Amino acid sequence: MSVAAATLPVPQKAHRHHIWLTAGGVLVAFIVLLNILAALGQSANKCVHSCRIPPPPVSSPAAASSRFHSSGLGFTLSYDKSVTGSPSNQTGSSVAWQWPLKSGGYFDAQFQGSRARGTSPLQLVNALHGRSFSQFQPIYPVAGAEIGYVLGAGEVYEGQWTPLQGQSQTERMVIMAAIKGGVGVTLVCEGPKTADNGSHPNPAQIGVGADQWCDQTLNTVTWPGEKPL
Amino acid sequence: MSEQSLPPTEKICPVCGQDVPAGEYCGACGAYLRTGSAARSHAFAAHPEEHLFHPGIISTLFPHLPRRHAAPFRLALLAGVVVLVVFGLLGLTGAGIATAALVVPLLYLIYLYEVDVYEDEPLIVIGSTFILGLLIGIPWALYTGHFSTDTLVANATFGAPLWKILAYGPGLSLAAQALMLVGCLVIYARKRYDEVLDGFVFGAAGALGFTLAVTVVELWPQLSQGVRSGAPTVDNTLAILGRGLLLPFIAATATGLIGGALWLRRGKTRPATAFGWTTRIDSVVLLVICLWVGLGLVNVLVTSIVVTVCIYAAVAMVLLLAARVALHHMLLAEAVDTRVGPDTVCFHCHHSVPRMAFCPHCGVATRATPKTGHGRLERAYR
Repeated sequence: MSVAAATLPVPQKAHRHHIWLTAGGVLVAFIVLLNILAALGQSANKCVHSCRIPPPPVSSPAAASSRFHSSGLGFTLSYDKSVTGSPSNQTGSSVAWQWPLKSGGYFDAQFQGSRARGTSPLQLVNALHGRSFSQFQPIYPVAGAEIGYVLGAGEVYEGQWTPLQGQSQTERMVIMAAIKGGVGVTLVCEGPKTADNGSHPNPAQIGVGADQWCDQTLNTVTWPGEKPL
Repeated sequence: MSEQSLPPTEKICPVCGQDVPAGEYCGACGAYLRTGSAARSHAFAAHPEEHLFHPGIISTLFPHLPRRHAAPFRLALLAGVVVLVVFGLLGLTGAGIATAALVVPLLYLIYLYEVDVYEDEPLIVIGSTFILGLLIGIPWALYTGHFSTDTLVANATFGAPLWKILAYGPGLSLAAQALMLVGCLVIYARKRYDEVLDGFVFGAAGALGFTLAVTVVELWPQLSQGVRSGAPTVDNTLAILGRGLLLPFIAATATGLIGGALWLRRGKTRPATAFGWTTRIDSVVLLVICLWVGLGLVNVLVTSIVVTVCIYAAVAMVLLLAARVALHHMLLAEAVDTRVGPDTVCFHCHHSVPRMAFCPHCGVATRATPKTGHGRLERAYR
């Protein structure tokens, strides 16, 4: 038994270069395919009808079955429990809901009250965004934003979520705020980004149904000293 | 027989006591003959020119690959990293998804072809592992993909209940790991392959098929953004790198380790040494469970992609070292055959050596060499 000093060739696969070229070709083909699909996806999402971003409609509040009253701040709002169910979280100054959407994902809505202390509605919006939702980027301001028929400020945001395990998702969020009698009320509505649906423009793209629920509910807000609806 | 009565070309190994060719390493047990070191931590059993704790990605994930054949794989992996970074910085959605999904799995398929791990059954082995993993990954991602992201978004906004954090974080990660093992278990049930590295490679291949499918399905919604993503550049780049390199590496190594530990139980092994705990199936499974519980919690609690990727990278590094230690000891433990075979050329050092469990010249485990040509012969039976 001995260990020879010379080095000798070992058997190896023939046509090794072919497998590398094949793999490279598969990769390039897949890149091209997905790029084409991405380009098609972009053209499908283009706004084809009225692309102007209108102010939210001013309408009467819908009939609501349940009520939230902030004991500390004195504002009240009514909501349709048949749509959202009971609030998922409720304190003396805030109320929140989360409900699953038929299209997948969840819709979150929260009303929160605070003492205004000389701040403006826009400052309330920016402060809330910076404090709690900094992952979302601003898209456009909400023209004519109102809460409880009081003019305030609002912004639509978008957040891209790409966890290393889990589906890539784009979420839209609307934050609005108004102040009356030293009390500020902010609204946050958040849900998966939804495409504009033909003749039913959905500028905030957070889902038409959820969008309408938020809009109707914020119109039910009554301020301290006002009679609840 | 005493050492003095042996011819000068033979010696008695101080560790196993066998009469072996006089070289650097014991051909029977792999011990380093100069110092009598059984653990030989200076020489990784699959790539003896590397230290056991050398963070070699290619030598760990592609253990059969001889030293001289590893260069193209290193270059390809480096090129893959560069391409992923470029696509991430440019925000190219389709190109980034395609590259992230394919770069590591394609490299692994090339590796399987290069070293003939599947012997005479390429379709059965690749079909049972890689393809099966891919087919399982598609419905898994379609059905469960949004659960963990919804929980992450909920945590970032208004908070998520504890049961959702546990179920959609660690719960889903552990369930995915179980599914990644299916292909490996199909091959295990056939009882045809008996080498530790067979189990490792089959497990890794199944996991890579699974991650390929999951990456494509879960990132598919990004295509609706168009050719370029609207996400911040750094976030996009890190997400692509994480998906394309870190997650496939972690999944392949974790699943491969379980496969290796399973295969080790298939036949005889040498008596457990002081490091025997690294080769046990319960130790490996516990390590993998801890890994996915931790990463699952990160997935639903950590909203910053920068922090997430840093955590994944740190975990990947720890797993890499743990895998090297485990594979090293598994290769030493499965070397029960002490026969001295005919002289053949070692795939690793290209010296003509007697065919034994370890090359007497370079110390590579024979079962960590390709099965091409004479590589399928005399692979140390147990």
